[in-house]
Amino acid sequence: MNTDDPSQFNRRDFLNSSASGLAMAMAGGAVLELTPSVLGQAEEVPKNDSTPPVNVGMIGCGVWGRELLKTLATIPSAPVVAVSDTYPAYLRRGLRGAPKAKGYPSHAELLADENVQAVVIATPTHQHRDVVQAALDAGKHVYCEAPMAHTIDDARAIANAAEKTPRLNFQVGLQTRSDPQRHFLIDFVRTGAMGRNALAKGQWHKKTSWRRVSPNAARQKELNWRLEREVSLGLIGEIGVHQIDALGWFMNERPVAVNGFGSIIQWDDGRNVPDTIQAVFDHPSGARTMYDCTLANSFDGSYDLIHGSYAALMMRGARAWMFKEADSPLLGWEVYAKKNSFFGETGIALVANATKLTNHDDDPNKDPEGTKPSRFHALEGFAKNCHKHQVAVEDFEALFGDDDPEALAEHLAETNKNKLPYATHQDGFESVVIAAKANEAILTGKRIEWSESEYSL
Amino acid sequence: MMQTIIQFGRALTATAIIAAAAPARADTVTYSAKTGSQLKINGTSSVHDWEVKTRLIGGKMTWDTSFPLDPSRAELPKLTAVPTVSVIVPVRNIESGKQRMNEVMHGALNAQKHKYARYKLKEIKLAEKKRNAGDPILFDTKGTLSVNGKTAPVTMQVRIAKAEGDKLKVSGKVSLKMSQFGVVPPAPKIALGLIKTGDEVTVEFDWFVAPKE
Repeated sequence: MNTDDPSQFNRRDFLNSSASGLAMAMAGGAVLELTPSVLGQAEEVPKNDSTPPVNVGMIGCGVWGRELLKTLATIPSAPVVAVSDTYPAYLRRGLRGAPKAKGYPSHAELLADENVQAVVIATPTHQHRDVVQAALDAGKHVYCEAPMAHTIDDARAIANAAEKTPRLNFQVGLQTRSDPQRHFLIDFVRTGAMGRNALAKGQWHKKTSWRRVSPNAARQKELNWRLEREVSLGLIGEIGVHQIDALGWFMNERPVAVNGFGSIIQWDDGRNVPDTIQAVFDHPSGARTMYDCTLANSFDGSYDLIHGSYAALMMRGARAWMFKEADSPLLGWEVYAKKNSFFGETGIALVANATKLTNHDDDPNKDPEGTKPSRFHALEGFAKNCHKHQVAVEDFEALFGDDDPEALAEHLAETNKNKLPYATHQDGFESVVIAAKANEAILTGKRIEWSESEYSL
Repeated sequence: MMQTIIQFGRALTATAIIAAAAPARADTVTYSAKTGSQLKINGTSSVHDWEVKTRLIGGKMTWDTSFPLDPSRAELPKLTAVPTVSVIVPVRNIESGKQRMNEVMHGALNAQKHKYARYKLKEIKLAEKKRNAGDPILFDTKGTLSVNGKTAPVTMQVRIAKAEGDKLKVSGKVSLKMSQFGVVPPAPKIALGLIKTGDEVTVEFDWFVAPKE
């Protein structure tokens, strides 16, 4: 088995997985369609992107780091000028993904490179804290992969470090938060068209061992950090964190309790992290989110679903459908919207480029043609936001000097409001709180409750 | 005793030096930019009207003390000298709230090459013969504005009002044409064709300044 096949191991690839026809058939909904005019954006991708590039260093060239390098290679505003990995073979592979970059055997050496303005951190999760702190100390903008940390303490330390360095742009790789299609959907949800949230469901199913293989025993142990509960939040942290975060964002409320279940069903190979988990989260409103994830079966792939009192919203990859109740108010536009029928249910499509005739005949089982993955938007946003942040600091200090950090922080807070959408250090921290509580529930089989105040830094 | 005389003598010399140097300094007062300012540019297009803005306005102005900038006074002396006023606005910080529009705007203004718009005052006179104490002081001004590396004259009425603490609020509004500054009104391509931007824009600002410490 090729251990470097991202399709086998990519912990975030649920975001790219296309919807399975059968699952869609079971659903049946109206597709919410995204149009540039709806989004308030020009359709054409600018050929001459006037945003100057921000030089990026990639720390960690493992399977996911190399996926990010592939994406970065398509983003003109984010040239990769340096890569680092402590494992020579990974460093070599990383350099193949970024041929013009300098290679460094440690993140410390990469951070000493003055040509690097921003770093993308894709090391094992339990190493994030030290690397983030070092990067901020070195004056680099930071994109820290999700989960931000494997413990609440580490997540808090990272978030506090980011807060203490307002001069630097800090983003977390909860990439769904940067996806324009999700932003279209959330605007729709916020109109109240779905009514009152009753329940939500997220799932990720894939038959894969999650184990990586190396001829060297010590290296193999190091590679398989995800399978050790001492340094890993397991499936809920490495996969579920994205979906749980997005569902909470859509429902506009964070969970305050969780019941969890976990078992090793398929891969009893010495790991102590469950390969099949379920978690039920309680929200303050009384609504619950059910999440399940398994490495034992692939059926029905991954999706997120919110049931409201007027309509349900199903999100699969870049597609989404709304299933209306008979008593829901007429919105008007849904009469003209594209619809898909499955098992007697009619779904109204909520997908990009609704006005494009070509998209009306496309295959609803696949993402619309030309759809870019969430990570593209997250990384492009990171580069552009770094530039905006840097300019805001430079111009402010050129006008008012550098002796009024409070006024600068105020100016940067305004600047942050105009950035491309991203996950903040607070979003990253909250998502780790939720994942860590859920993981505790999964490992102990106990109900875990906490108060809203635990989301404060 | 002798030591006291020497000390007195030194003090006298020091005072004399300060006194000699003083007229140049005491004659003028310099106000420098403070935070909290706002500049808005409003324009039109074939699709909708638009607005972009920035909160960063820098620069300073130096006035002759014979004309105290005190809006609380009912009577103002004659304005005998043209104050030195230079204002600077970072173009890259002008914000539309939309990334693509920012790119189009900053591209049109050549913001990477000409990072700052600069204004310099050339002529000024009081705009009113009578005034009420506490009202803003109104001036008719002529100056030059440099944008995109091109300089053009700007005529506008400016109001100076008292603001919080020792701050003053300098406000104005002026219509300009992009073409005066060699800026081609952007025409970005969108789904339904071209958006055409009108040449004329209105610039409106509130610039906060305070005496330099």
